[in-house]
This record gives sequence, structure tokens and C-alpha cells, in this order.
Amino acid sequence: MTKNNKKIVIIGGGHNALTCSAYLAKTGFAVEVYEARSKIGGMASVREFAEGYKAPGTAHLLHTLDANILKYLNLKKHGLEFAATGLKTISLNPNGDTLTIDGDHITGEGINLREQQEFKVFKKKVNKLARFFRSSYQHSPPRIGSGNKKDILGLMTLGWNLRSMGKEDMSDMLKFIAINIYDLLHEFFDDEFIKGSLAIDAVLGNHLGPRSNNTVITYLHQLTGEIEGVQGGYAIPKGGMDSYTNALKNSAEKQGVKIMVDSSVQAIRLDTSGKVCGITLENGDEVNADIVVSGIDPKSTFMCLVGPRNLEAGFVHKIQNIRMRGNASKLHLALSAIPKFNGVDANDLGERIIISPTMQYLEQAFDFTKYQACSDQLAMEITIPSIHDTTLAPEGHHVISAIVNYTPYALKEGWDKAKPLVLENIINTLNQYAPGIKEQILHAELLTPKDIESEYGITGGHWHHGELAFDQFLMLRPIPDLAQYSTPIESLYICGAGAHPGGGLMGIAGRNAAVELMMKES
Amino acid sequence: MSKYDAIVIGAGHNGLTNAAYLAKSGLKVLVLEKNDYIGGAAVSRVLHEGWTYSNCSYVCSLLRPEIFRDLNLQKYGLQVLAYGGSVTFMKNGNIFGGYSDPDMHRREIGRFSKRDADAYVRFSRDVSRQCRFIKPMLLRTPPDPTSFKPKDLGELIYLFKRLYNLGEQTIYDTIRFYTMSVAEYLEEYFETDVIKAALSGSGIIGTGLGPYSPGTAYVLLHHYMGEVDGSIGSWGYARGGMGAISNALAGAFQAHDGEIKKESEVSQIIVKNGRAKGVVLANGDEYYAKNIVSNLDVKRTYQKLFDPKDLSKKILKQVDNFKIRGSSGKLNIALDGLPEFPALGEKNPLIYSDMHFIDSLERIERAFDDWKNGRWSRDPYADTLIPTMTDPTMAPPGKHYMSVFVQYAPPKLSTGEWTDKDRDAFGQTVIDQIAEYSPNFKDLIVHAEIRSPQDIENEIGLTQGNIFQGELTMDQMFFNRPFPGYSQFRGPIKGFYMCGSSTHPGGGVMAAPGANAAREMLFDLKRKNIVPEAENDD
Repeated sequence: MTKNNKKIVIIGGGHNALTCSAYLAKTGFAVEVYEARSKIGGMASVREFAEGYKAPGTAHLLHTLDANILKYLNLKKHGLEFAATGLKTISLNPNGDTLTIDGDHITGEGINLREQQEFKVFKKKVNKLARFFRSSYQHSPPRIGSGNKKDILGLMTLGWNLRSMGKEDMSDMLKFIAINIYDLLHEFFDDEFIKGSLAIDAVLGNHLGPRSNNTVITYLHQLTGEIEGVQGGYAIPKGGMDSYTNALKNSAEKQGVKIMVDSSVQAIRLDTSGKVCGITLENGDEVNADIVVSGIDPKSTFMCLVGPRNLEAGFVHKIQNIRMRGNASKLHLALSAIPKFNGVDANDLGERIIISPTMQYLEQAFDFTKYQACSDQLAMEITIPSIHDTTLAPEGHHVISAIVNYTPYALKEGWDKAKPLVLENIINTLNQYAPGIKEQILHAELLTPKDIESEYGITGGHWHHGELAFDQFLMLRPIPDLAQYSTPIESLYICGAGAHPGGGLMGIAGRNAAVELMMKES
Repeated sequence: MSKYDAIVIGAGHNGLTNAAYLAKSGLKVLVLEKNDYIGGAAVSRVLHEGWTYSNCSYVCSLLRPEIFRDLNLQKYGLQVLAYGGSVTFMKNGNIFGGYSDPDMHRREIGRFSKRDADAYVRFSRDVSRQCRFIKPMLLRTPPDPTSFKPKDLGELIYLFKRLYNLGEQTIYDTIRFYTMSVAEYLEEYFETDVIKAALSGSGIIGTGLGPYSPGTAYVLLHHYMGEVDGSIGSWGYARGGMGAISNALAGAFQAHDGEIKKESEVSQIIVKNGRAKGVVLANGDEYYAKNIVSNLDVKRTYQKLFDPKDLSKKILKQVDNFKIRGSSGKLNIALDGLPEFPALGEKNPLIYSDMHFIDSLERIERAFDDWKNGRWSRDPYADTLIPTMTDPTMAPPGKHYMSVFVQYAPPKLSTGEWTDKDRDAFGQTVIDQIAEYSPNFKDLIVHAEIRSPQDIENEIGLTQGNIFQGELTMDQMFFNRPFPGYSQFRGPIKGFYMCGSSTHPGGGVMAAPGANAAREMLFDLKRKNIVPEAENDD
């Protein structure tokens, strides 16, 4: 099978790096993956946060998985199984009301037929627009003004895809991508609770409030995936996220990829001509390679591993300006019993539960983060994975895994001091919606963006390896010079979520990088 | 009753520009104005004996020079006086001066940071480049990107060509410029907070967005396009107040036999068989014309002047969704003498300049938060000028006129509509802020006119008091202005046109929308185009 004797080293063992390695090995490259932690998977792995209690380390729901990758790498055969798919979203209101969103169907107290109709119209519209995003995610983004034939063709395809959406959808696309979710939802709905329940999807993991422009981009982004035929559907893999990354690992290893854990990379080595020639590990070992692919974020890649002295000043300036201030924390709770949420049926506790009653609620929490502070009213996406997977907690016990938004990376008083108070506020908020949960807590862990940075090595602790915004999107992601996965350093590539099309456990960045590399290097 | 070729509703500067071009082309044109004075928001008003206020818009520099020359506005009395620079007063007693002399300006920045002084060179180069790119488009009609008509395709190709000619890196910068927040854009260049604060002001004026809201970098650009005597980014006063612009435009219009009727408020546009036929005034009078042009903003035009039956549901929805948010107030103050600003020292030329009293991005963003929450900013961004330093005709000898434009003030307060008490408290907030830096300021006040967004709406009919007739964000710009499908100045009804700042390229006393609309009308009427193209200054 080997038709190429070039050796490739991939830095990082996250899902994008693994996807990239599997694709490359499949075409005959000799590929080695170096992961700093003692297990692969990066943010998509299971974490034992207290003895006997396990939870997904950071990402806890799969919903933007790419169907092509799933098929091409045969992930199902390699062990990817879903414990639950097509999860509903249940939104909580402080007054005890709930709202249930299931596909294009919305139900709840006070939701009338007209609102249900409007929701269907809304869903149809955003799904269609998101499919345009999806089509543009399938390739590396074209450069504008390069004069290169491939880029011109790419741009024309992009333009054609836009035009073929039809006059109305094209106009909507051009208008919507520039606005914010606040204004968009106002165009469709009157009910504040509905709007709040939808708006959280646009801001989760980003440094954005619902009134910030760019939030329609982020909203559409999370609708680009497809699981079991449902666009934007939520799923929980059996055995936690490990099942997804292990399937990737198995698929990669089957193609001959060698995966090394506990192998932190210290530097990317360049030869005298400035071309990549290998890496240096933290233990001093040197590994030679013809090509190096970095699956870690672009700031770490260039500022730490390559080093500014090997780079042009203008380029360094642009790298430094990549916006990647994390805003989301991860909460893990070990509970002595199954919690009770106001208004939520006991059979529905396995669904996706959110706290985001109004857009005003989100905006006010966001305002705190602008000034490096933390509101005591935060937005949350809650799951109880132990319902789907009994191995996560001792019998009868449960774990809660929640993403808590609007906990900024940089906090004026510092996280060391603020963390206990923030955790207490979060638990109090939870207790408001799930009275009695406070007494059930055996262990609690809060991974702040600072913790995520040190634990997973992501600068700023940003889930997407960089804000998803118009100015860091498509051919501008993460910066124009890196948009096509190649870098100013010969034979160095990037394949992480910092590259187009961004994060969300899609694996697309990894796949696209592999395709781009194959074209350039073979 | 005599019949006209065109009736223009509203004698704002765009309505007058539009009318002037139509009349110049030989058409019989009538302009109807509801107030007993013309000019809309470009007016000079005597509200206190001896003083003339530019009581709405207050500086003139976005006015297209091509139109100025083409309509010979100088002949009709318009004189533009350049003024230079800006100054930011800081909490710590220091000041940051923005000098119009580039060397002085660089030295001033260097006083705070050597690195920023270098960055400023890059910054002004990049901004100028963007200005040069955008300028020719101000006097062109945006193409409809969904259309396959040769005219639209041709315009799209022209655009792509221009974009392409910028070169790859500049293209990316352009996209970033149009979508980023002004704060983050400035943070890429500068490290000193006061410098960022001073520069960011242009990104929020008139806009319901904060410095950290994506999209504000473009608003900065919109304000930097100004041109007085050919120098980019410089500003000027219309001698005798902003009314001089409207009067000069009216002069040009009347020289071509145009007719203006004041105190003639239009209450409805008559539509028959799907065609605009004429207008009905509030007093019941009717006037007929083959073409009807509205200088009013989109919401006022479609929601107040049309019978909803004449419009499709889709249009009504688009109008409803049009964002026009009042965010600014205004103070016009008559002063008994020149206020002292101890931080400036004696005889500092910066007293002629644009003064601001807010020295950090955080303070400006917090001012915006107040607006979001339905109250005027407790610590506002006050764009303060003393026009009488440059144009002494606006006040009695030795006395002064101060114009204070205030960002942010909401059109409606969280407590309800604005009351007289609210207005006074709002004015006091602004006066207190200025008095912090000028000890004798309060004693010099002879008269003060305080205007909330609601006052601006009531008096001159700008919905919510939005000075641009609609937010200047990407979704409402260029081929999206005012909304997709209607960016070419034609309305949904035959014979009906829009010519106000709600249309491309937006507000700022440019006179470009009025001229652009005239060009499209002349095209429809199969008449020779007489509207000038933008001149290239490359």
C-alpha cells in the first residue's frame, strides 16, 4: 500500500489530529502521532474527576460529526456506538416552566400553535442556511485574489452554491451572517423564553453575547453536523467521548499509524534552509520527519514550538492577534442520587437540559465578562451522562456534566481566588432549578478556561481553538496565511480546530488538512 | 391643480439634492416640508437671541465634494471652514491631543508609547487605503447580487475587479475591517488605552453598538471618509451653521425653477393601479406627480405614508425588521465666554478641536451597557465642539456656542417615555462631565437646548432619533440597504423612490443618497444622466 515514503509527525492526539493521521496513513504515508497526555482524545476524552466518578473531560455531546468522515474511516466498525441519539433539549425557566425542543417541534406551557408553526419555519430556514456552511466546510477555503486557478474555481463554487440557494435564501444568507442572534430571533419570535432557549446555542463556548454580531455564524455552525440522519441532532456515545476518539484511534492504527502518549513536544525543528526537519520531545529525544502537522492551536504551534525568531514579524503579529479568550468552564458533579429538576419528567433527565431563560439573561452575564468579571447568574448546558452509561458512577449514584458559559479566561481578581465563589454561585443557580441538588453533591469540580489551558494545552482555554467570528472564518481562519492548512514554514501544516472550519468535534479540519497535504506533498 | 414630474417628500439635505438634480435635468419638481424651515437635520436655528445653533448635525465633511462642485454650492452661500484635531481629557489630569499635523500627532502618541507611534503610521496607512477603496462606491448604485440583469452583473464585475486590484492581503484586511469591532481592531495596533479610546469614538457615533460590538470598525471608516480641501479624515464647519448646506442646496434647486412648500406635511402617498400618483397633505390638499420620492426614513415612509393595503406582507415585514435605533442625544449651549480647560494650558490650539472626556474603552463600553439597559449613559461619550472658535458668526462677539453630541441615550427609557425631568437630568449628566474639566463652564451657560432621541424624532421625524436613518451595520449596508431587493432606490411601487439616508451609502450629511436616487430616476425616465461620478484621487 505504501506509495509514499515520506514520514509525517503529528503533534497532539485530539480528534482532528487522529482524523488527519488516519486519512494520511490511508494514502500511504508513515505517520506518528505524539500526545502529551497519558491518553489520546484531548478534550474529547473521559476524565475521572473523583474516585469512582467519571465524566466527559470537556465536550459532552456529539452533534457536529461529519457523515463523510464517519463513513470513510469506518468509525462504527471501529467501535463508535451511540448510547443515545436525537436528544431533546429541555429549557428551564426560574418560574418552573419548561420548554422542550425536539427537532423542529417545540412544546411547553403557553406555547401556542402559531409559535409552533413559526418554529418550524425558523428551523427550516436555519437548517438550509447551515447546509450552505456545511458545503463550504468540505474543502479548504479558497484564497481571494491569489490568481491561482484552484482558488478561482473554489470561489466560483462558493458563489454558485450561494446563488443556487435561490433568491430569497441567498439574500437572507447575506443579511443574516452579518447580524446577531438577538435580532434574528426577534424577527421570528415574540416569546422571550423561546428566544432565550435558542440563543444559548449561538454563544456557548464563545466570547459573545446574543447582541454581538457574529452570533448567527456561530448558531449556524452548530447546525452543520448530522448524526443518524438528523441535522444538528445531539448524541451521547456509548462509553463517553472515548468511544469516538478510540474509534478514530483504532481506525488510524489499522492504517499503520503509530501513536505515542506521554510524549510532550517541546519544539518543531527546522533545518538551515528553514524547512521542517522534525520535532524535539520534552525528554530531549529528537524525532526526524519530512513533514510535521500540528493538531494543537495555532498560537501554541507558532509562539511556543516554532518560536517567533523563526518567523517573519508581520506573521507573528497576526498570530498574536488571533482572538482566543475562552469563556466556558466545565462543571462536574458527583451525586448521591438522581437529581430532580423542576418541571422535568424523571424519564427526561437523560436529555440535554439548558439554563438560559431569556436573551437578556445571557447578555447580562456576557456584560460581566467584558470587564473580566463573572456574573452570579450563568448560562448552562447540562447532561447527566450516567443515565446513559452506568459505568460512570457507582450504582445508584450519578454524575452531572455541564458546560457553564460566561466564565472568562482572564478574571480581574484571578481564578485562584474567585474559583470557590464562582463554583458556589453555579451550584446555587443549579439548586434554584433542581432544589435539593446541593445536598446530593459528593464531589464537585470546576474546570475554568485557565484549567482547560493547562490541562489540555489550549491557549486561552478556548474550545474552538479561536473565536468563531466573521474575521476568523473561512479564508480568514485562523489567519489568512494559514487558511489552507499549510504554513509559511515549508512542510509544516496545521490540522486543529484553529483552522477552517473550526471546532465542535467535527474532525473536518483534520480531514481537510490531510487532503491539502496530500496534494502538496505527493 | 398643476401636475409635477416629481414630488419630493421632506426637505432634508438629501431630498434637496435629489430635487436639485431632477430640476437641473429639466423636470418640474415640488419639495414638500412639514416644518416651517427647510433642512431636516442640517439646520441653523436661532433658539436663543443672538446665537445660531447647528442643533442637529454639527460638522460637515462627508458632503461629497463632487456634488459641492457640480451644483456650485459655493455660489449659493456654502462655505466650509476646516478645523483640526481632537483632544481627550483624562481622569489623571493629562490630555491626549490629536493634531492634524501628522508629525505633531506622532510625537504626541510617542509621549504615551513609542510603539504606538509606529503603529499609528501603519494604522493611518491602512485606513486611508480602505477609504480610497470605498469612496468611488459612494456615488454608485449597489448591484443586486441575486439578479442576472446585465447592469447588475456588470456592476458586480466592476466591484470584484476593484477588490481584486487591492491585492490579496488588503482584501482580507477589508473583510476584517467590515466585520470586526472597533476596539479589537484598534487593539491590533495600539497598546495605550487612551489612544484606543480616542480613536474608537468614530466607531460608535450615532450607532446602537459599543466599541466591542463586531461591526463598529466600519462605522469608524464611515466617519474617516471625510474630506475637506482634499485631506482625508479632516472635518469642517459649514459657515453660519449646518443650515448653510440646506440653503445652498435649496438655492441650486430654485435656480432651476424648483418649488419648495414649507408647513406642508404629507400624510399619505396616493397609489392607484399599482402606481404612485401623488400625495395628500395633513390639511387635505392633494398634489399629483408622475414620480414620488421620499426623503424620510424607511419606517416612516412605509409605515406612516402608505396604506398597508398597497404593500406586500413581505415588504411590511422587512420594514418592521429594519434596525433604526436611537442612541444619541444632543446639547446646544450658549456660553457667555470661552470656558477654561486648565489641562489644556493657555493658548492651546486644541481648544479649536473636538473634545472628549472619556479616556478608556471600558468606560465607553459601560456607557453602551447603560443604553442597552434603557438609560442614558451615566458617564457618556460627549463629542464636544466650540464652533465659534472657528466661525464667530454663530454667537455675539466674545460669546460662544458649544455643540455637544452625546452617545448614548435610548429612544425610550426603562422607566417609560422621556419626561421633562429625565431630559434635564440627562443634560445635567453631560454638563457635569464637562465641568469636571472646566471649572468655570457651568457659570458661563446662558442657555442650553437639551435634545433626547425622542425630541429629535418629534421635531424632524427621524424614527427613534437615529441620525443615520438606520443602523450602519453590514446587514443594512450596500446591497442590503435598506433591505435586500430594494437597494437601488426604487420602491416596491412603480413611480416611487427613496432618497434619504436609509438608502446607500447611509447617513452623515453626504448628499450621496439623494444624488444616487436622482441618477436611478433619470435612468428610468430615459433622460441623460447628469449626476457626477466619484472622482478618483489615487
